[in-house]
Amino acid sequence: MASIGMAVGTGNIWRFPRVAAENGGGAFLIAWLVFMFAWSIPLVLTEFALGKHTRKGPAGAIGHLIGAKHNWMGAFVGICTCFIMFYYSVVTGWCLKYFFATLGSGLANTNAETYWQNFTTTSNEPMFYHLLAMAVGCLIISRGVVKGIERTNRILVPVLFALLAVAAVRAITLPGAIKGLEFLFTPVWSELLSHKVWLEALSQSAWSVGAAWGLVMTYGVYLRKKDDFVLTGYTTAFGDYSASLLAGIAIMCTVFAVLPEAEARTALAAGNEGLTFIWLPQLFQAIPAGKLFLALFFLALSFAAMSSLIAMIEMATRIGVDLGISRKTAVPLVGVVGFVLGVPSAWKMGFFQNQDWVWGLGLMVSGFFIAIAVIKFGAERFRNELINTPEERRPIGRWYTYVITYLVPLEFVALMVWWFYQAIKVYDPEGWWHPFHSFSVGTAVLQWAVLIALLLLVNRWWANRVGAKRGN
Amino acid sequence: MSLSGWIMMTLVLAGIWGGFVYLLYQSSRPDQE
Repeated sequence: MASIGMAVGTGNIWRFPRVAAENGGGAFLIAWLVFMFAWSIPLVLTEFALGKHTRKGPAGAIGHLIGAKHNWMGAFVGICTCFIMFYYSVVTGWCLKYFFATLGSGLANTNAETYWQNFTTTSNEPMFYHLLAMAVGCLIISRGVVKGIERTNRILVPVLFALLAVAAVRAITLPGAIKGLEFLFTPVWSELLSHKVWLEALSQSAWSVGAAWGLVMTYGVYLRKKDDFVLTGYTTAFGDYSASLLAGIAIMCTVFAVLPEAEARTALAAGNEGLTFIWLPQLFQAIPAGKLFLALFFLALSFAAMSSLIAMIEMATRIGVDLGISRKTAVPLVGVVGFVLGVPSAWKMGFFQNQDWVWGLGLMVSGFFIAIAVIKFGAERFRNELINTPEERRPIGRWYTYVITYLVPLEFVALMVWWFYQAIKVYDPEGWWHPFHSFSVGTAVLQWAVLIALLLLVNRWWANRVGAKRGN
Repeated sequence: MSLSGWIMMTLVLAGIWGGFVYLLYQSSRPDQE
């Protein structure tokens, strides 16, 4: 349940429907299903095995596996997700704010775009809700893994699925909803020849399932020796995909039932925040009992965001614990640092978008580093010794070895080339090299390079602290 | 919606949702030592 809660986040709800509809509907779904097995599941299983075997979070596991001098690669995985946590807490705050707003009359009596602009640019509310999200997350984590994470997810995850199911049923029964299903599922076969469709499907699968975030590795630390995890890995991926499909049906049917096709396309092209916080409040108001369903929608979004945020806070706490800080000290420390470093994202939308671009892409680097660690250790040996252990009731086949050794590195290269090509040609043709432009190649490379340089500089100290294996 | 759309929808939903329910059922079964 905790793994599903970690995986199902805002990306399932606000990104999947949009990206699927814009990239050939059913054709996109085929590519998306392929990457479940060609990226997400193999990396999720690798993370479980690393956490369980080494008893370390990402900042120590790779050093334990392949030697102290490579520990920085695991540290990169962990720190990259910490950077995501800083702004993800802000996103969780937005969801909470909108849920509370739906309970009053805040959203009903105003223009949705003006409301969003006022909220994000002229008030201090994003800061307050960011603080609230971080405080609630830390409170849950401070109760421990079983009492905090497991018990919270035992409530959040089933309620989230129920809310999404209710929203999907409501949407599908709207007059004209079939148009939304048509856009989501009808395959435009020619799109299968488009590299864009495949790369969008890869990035959606990677970001959504939570592969290479280091979060699964952290949960793997708490597995008992007798626990098997291959089934859990598959359940995480299928649960995440199921939530995406429910959200896809709910959103696409609502958008196409309320708006004419041209406007519906404009709404879908408005980006994650635009679709969720500007368009959806207007659309829900146009359907019977829309206020109630809008409240349920933002409650689902808040639950999805919070269940992912607590996984990130737990991972950051694990980094502290692996470095020798007590858990009691690490949780509030993560809370304070998380709040302070999230403030710029809560304050300036441009900063938020920059961080989302840099560290979202950084996850691909994380996936590459994890694959490199397994390849260096020996992918077949890793499968035999760390995944297919004697206690594993459902051993994984040889396909895992081929995917990790050949496909994951190839997908990483293809995705990076594609995103950087996009940045140079579409996002920022003039200033793609500029290190201080929001969506430039320069800003991503510079921030990764600074982080890697710092991690290399402190690698020996860090590896000693986490007790990484010497030699190699 | 076209026939290919209906077929795709049925296959994807049955595969993913059916797979998820099956995996949840398998996870809930007690260990058979």
